[in-house]
Amino acid sequence: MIAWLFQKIFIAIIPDGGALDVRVVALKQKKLLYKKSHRFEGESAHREMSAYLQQFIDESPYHYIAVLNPDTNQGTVLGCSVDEAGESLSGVKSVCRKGKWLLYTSERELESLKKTYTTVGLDFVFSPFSVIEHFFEDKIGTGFALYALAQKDAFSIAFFDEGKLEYSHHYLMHQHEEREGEEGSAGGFSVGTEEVEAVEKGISLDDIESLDDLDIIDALDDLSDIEDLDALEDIMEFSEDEPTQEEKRFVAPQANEIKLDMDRFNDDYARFEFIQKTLSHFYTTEECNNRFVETVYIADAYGSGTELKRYLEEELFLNVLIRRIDLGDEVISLSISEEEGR
Amino acid sequence: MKHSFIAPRPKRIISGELRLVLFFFIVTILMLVGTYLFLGYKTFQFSHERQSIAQKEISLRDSIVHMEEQIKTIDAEVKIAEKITTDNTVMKESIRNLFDLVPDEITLDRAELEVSSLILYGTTPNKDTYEYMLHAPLRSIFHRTYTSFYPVENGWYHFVSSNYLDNENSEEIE
Repeated sequence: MIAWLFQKIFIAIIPDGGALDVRVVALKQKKLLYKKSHRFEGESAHREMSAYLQQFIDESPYHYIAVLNPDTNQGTVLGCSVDEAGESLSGVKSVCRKGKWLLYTSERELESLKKTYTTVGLDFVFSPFSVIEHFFEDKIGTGFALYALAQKDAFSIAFFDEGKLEYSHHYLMHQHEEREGEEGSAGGFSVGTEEVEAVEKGISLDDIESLDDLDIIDALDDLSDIEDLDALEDIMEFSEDEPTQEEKRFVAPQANEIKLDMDRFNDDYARFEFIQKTLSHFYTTEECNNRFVETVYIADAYGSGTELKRYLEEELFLNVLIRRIDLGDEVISLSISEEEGR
Repeated sequence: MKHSFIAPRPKRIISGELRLVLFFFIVTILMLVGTYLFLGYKTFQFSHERQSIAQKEISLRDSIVHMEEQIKTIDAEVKIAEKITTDNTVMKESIRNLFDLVPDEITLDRAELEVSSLILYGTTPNKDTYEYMLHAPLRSIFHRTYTSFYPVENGWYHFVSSNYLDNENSEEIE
């Protein structure tokens, strides 16, 4: 009744590795008052985040805290009846979408998630597939395509055909590394389907062939300039004390930058593998129905994707469209639509 | 547009502490309003009572005036009664005196006693008896006395004696 007097504060918490990305948006009668972002890292991230969010919680009773579900055991199934899905959907919390497909997550993990955020409390928990559906709202109704959400720690793949979710898979990015050696560990969680193969345990030599296109290797291949070396008459004496012009020009990259690049490279390759694996699995299922994926839409929240695009285009001959996604904004947008739809 | 796995928590505009403070404020305000209403009711009641008492006072004053008038009337009536009683007593005395005044020889047939006059009808053996024994005392009482004699067959006389008091005396007598 008097809710219009208060500002509505929407808070989005995005788990990102060990860190927590927090986005705070305050609205009053649909008018943006302010927008704040903060990242919490380290062991005390949750404690610091609680203290940070308390000021916004105290600011207005109409505050909504949403989190993007980071759980492993989540996915979608066709149809909206849990009974149809059978025993595999026991102990899950589900949400029916448009009467056509069901979003689900493990009830136990959901309770665990609530307990994790018990100090601030949770109002909304969104599935990454909801984010895909919302983010590609303009695309999913246009035909059959593969849609993916690339997070730092997870990779969600969904097949939409004329606005209907046909098939999906949710993978954790580094699970295969952590569980290396464990048998039968899948990188993701899928209901009603069996994993055709385990997640790759490393980069195979065959895959390295695809690295031939890298610019560095191209440059190494180009040996035409070597002949020029013979033409050089005045070769400067190398001194141990004074650095050469090349040495001066060349700035050695920082170790963490190299690590970051390598991580991105590995993550892009892992994502490529996830897509490849999901596609091959999809083509063997009944849901395929003699359809082939031609276009891949990727919502990139990690800031990489160029390598992935190249792999997909060159190896799988797919049309790839990568859109940068701000997960905080997207989760807040979902929260707003959820709050308005109540 | 349902995407969330959980429903949002109910939003309470008022916190626990604020609710407690508001509760006390509301109780205080209710008590004040209650007191105000009670005093207002009592004031209304008192003013109503005052009005009724004022009306009663007016009616009592009216009744007092009426009673005073009645008392006056009664007093007047008492006076009249006393006067009548006195008059009656006086008349009784007068009649007794009148009868005492009339000698045995004279017989009265009729007497008309009025405020300022006395008319006697009677029979007397002779005029002298009347003259000396009745007329003399009547003359001493009344200012004017007229007597008429009519002879009867047996030699006696019927007489009519008209006696009047003058106005001053009659007023004094009244």
